[in-house]
Amino acid sequence: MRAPTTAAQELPAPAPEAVPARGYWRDVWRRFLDDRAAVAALALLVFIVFSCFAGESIASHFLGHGSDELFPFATSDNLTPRGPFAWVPDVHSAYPPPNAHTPTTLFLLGADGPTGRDEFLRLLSGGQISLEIALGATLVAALIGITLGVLSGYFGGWADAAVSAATEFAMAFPLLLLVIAIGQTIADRFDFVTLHGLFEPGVLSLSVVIGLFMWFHPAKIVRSLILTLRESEFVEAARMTGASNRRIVVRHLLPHIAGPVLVWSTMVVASVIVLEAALSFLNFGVKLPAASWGTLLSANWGTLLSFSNQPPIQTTAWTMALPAVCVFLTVLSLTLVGDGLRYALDPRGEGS
Amino acid sequence: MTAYVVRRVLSAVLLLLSISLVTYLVFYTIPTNPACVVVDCGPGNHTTPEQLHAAEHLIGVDQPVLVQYGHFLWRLVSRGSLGRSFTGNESVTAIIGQTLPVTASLVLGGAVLLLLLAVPLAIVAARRPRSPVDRGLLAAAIVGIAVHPFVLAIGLRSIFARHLGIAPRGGYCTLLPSDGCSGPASWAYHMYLPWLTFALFFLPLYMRMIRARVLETMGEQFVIAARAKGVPESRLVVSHVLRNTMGPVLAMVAVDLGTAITAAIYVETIFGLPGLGHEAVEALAGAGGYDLPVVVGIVLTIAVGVTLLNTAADLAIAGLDPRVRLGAGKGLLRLPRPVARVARRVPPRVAWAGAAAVVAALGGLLAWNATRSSGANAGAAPASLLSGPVQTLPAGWSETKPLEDGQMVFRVRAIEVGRRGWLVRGSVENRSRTAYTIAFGRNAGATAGFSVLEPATLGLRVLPATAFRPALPPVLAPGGRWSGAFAGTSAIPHGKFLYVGFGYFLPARPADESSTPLLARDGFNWLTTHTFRVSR
Repeated sequence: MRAPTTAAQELPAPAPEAVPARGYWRDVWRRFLDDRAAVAALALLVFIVFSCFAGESIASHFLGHGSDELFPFATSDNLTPRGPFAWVPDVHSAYPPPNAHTPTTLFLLGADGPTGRDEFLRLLSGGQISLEIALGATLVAALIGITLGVLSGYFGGWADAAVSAATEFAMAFPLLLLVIAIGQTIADRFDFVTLHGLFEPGVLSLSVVIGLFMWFHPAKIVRSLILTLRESEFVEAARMTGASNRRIVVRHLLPHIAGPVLVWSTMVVASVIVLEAALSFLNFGVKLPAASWGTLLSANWGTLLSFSNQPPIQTTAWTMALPAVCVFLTVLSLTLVGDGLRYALDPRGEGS
Repeated sequence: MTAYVVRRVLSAVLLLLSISLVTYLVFYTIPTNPACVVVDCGPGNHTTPEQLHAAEHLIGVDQPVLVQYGHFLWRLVSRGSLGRSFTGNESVTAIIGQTLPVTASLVLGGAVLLLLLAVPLAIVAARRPRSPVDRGLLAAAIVGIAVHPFVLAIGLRSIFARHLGIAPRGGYCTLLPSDGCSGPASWAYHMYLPWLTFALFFLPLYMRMIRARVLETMGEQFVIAARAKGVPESRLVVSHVLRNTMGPVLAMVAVDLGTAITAAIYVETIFGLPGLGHEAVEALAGAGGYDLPVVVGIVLTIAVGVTLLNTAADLAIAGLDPRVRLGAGKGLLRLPRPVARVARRVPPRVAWAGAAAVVAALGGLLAWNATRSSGANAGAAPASLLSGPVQTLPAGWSETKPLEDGQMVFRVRAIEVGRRGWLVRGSVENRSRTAYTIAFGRNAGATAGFSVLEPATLGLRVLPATAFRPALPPVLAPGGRWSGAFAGTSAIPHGKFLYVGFGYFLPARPADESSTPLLARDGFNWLTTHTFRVSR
């Protein structure tokens, strides 16, 4: 991406020994590095993303079992899942009962519930799905929002009026009711759009539906930014040199809105992870045996339509706390990165 | 100002029209037949095409969508009626009249608590940006969204109600004194946990937002000038910074409260509050389909709420910031020039009085309709579709539940409720490779497949099933199927909710394996539940 030009950079260097001007993005990066908490959060985030996308296959290779496999003896006799660091008989059937010679396999974080799957592996593969949905939904929302925001902000007039009306409509329409209705009736048909198995069932449909929830936030941000930017001198200059509208928008305006949209994205990825969990409660989520952090959370509490579906004896503090900790760490690191980014992009105001 | 009032009223009318139309269109593109809410049309049903047509005609879905929408509008304008629920045949205005106060007290009380928590915390955080205090507050606030509101609500309830015993386990008491549980004290006592849950759900977002705004304002010239002048720090924060911060915050509160039905659904479900969110889930999760009139009623109620709150936010912003002028608006949402010119001559006070009169008249019409029709429920009950003294609940669904190694197919063909008992006809088919113990209307004491929810206490009272025809096999082998009826002799009171469900025990282990006997409730999983309301 080309750095936005400022007047200061255009000036010729006053003296030969002057330090060469750094680019805008390099400056942002230097300011970002000053914030140690944000850098640590970024490292944690990279670690989380890496372990979610690559960790499951590596871990299941070393542990010798997969995230969807069922181990009847990973639970106690009354079906309470085993706790962390449990050696579990490596059998998939309750018959014949295991004896001292039965091989065992390691469950690092215990089992996920009465069906006895590996919680550790499910957290990893669930994280992949949750992050895929979060990124996908953010992308959908950002694409729609930026397009509409640019249209309404840059061209104004009828385009602006139509987009404003659509925004008002989208904000007043309780889309969640629609989602419940879809989840009740035709979710199964949507869920099996997987792009030839590239994604797990439900991931694409959830991304699109959540993205449709959220587009008006970036649209409002982009519109208000473009409204002030289009009056600025550099746009005028570009227009005087005969640049087309398309060139002005793509080369001159979009680089300016990249920063705020990036900050918005870090916030919204976090809230989509939480919303995905919410939709899992509404019967509109990824389907078993695939896991997401949302379904792992809801496994403990049931869904809205049949909530608290398991007697307390079958859930442990582990199965409740672990997915929540994963969501917490991801959201926290994203927010800290977003915070640092916001400061790095706009050190004076810290405004959004 | 007058132009603003006229524009608000007009845009609200447009918004309500378009939202109700879109709701109608969307719900008719979803491929289910609304008549299946009234009669059984699941697999293996005995409904004749004539009965189906009669049911369609009864609820008026045999006409084109736009004609139905026209009828809906005409009913609304001429009689102040939002129609009748497909399932219970109750008046939608009456349903909303009962549920709206609950949701309103949840959402408004929660918003007050939210601001009381978010503003001081945000100021504390903004005083030292990116310090350990700031970061610690951020982390603490994020716990509120990292544990889902569902989990948060259950956790709070478990701590406050079960362990400390300083809160009720659920239920709602009216604010206005009447007979039964009512009055401000018991209202607040029953609401404070829901308020807390609601506030914690939004707290991180608002804390961040207010913090950013406060930081931004702190850097403004007038703050620096005031500080240089020697204004005390506390006064600086309250009357210089906060006054300039609260406008956008109030606008955001207004928008979020309108859409807070999302959070309200969870909170209401867990705390057993009979509000709009709970009603929406009921309307959407009924057997076979959804209750369109109730859904449209709720959608419209929310839209009215959004409009009113946005107006209130506009006024508050204009009151806080004298630079803001409320006028005829811009773009498509702008008033036509001649109207604006006329409006300019009308004093604002007259315009406000007029708008208030319009709102009051509409509200009065709806309220009148609600009181008039609330008593007369049974009048148009689809009696012609029923046979004998038995009430057949709208059943007829089948569900295929993915299990770990296959599927379980569950069908309910009919539910019949008489004065002295009930009967469920259905089947269950095990299409997996594991043998399951089936709990299908199981004996008393255990969790059962058929139970009555008492909304006041949220306790599930289990109805024992006493007869199975044919008898249930002890274990449903792979590929096995049971089809028949089971019945019980409990009387089901009018107006109660029925939960009809089906469960399984997993896995079927040899009895000699464990030293302790496997209790019936251990290992029980609900596969599906459906909710009905008995209205006789």
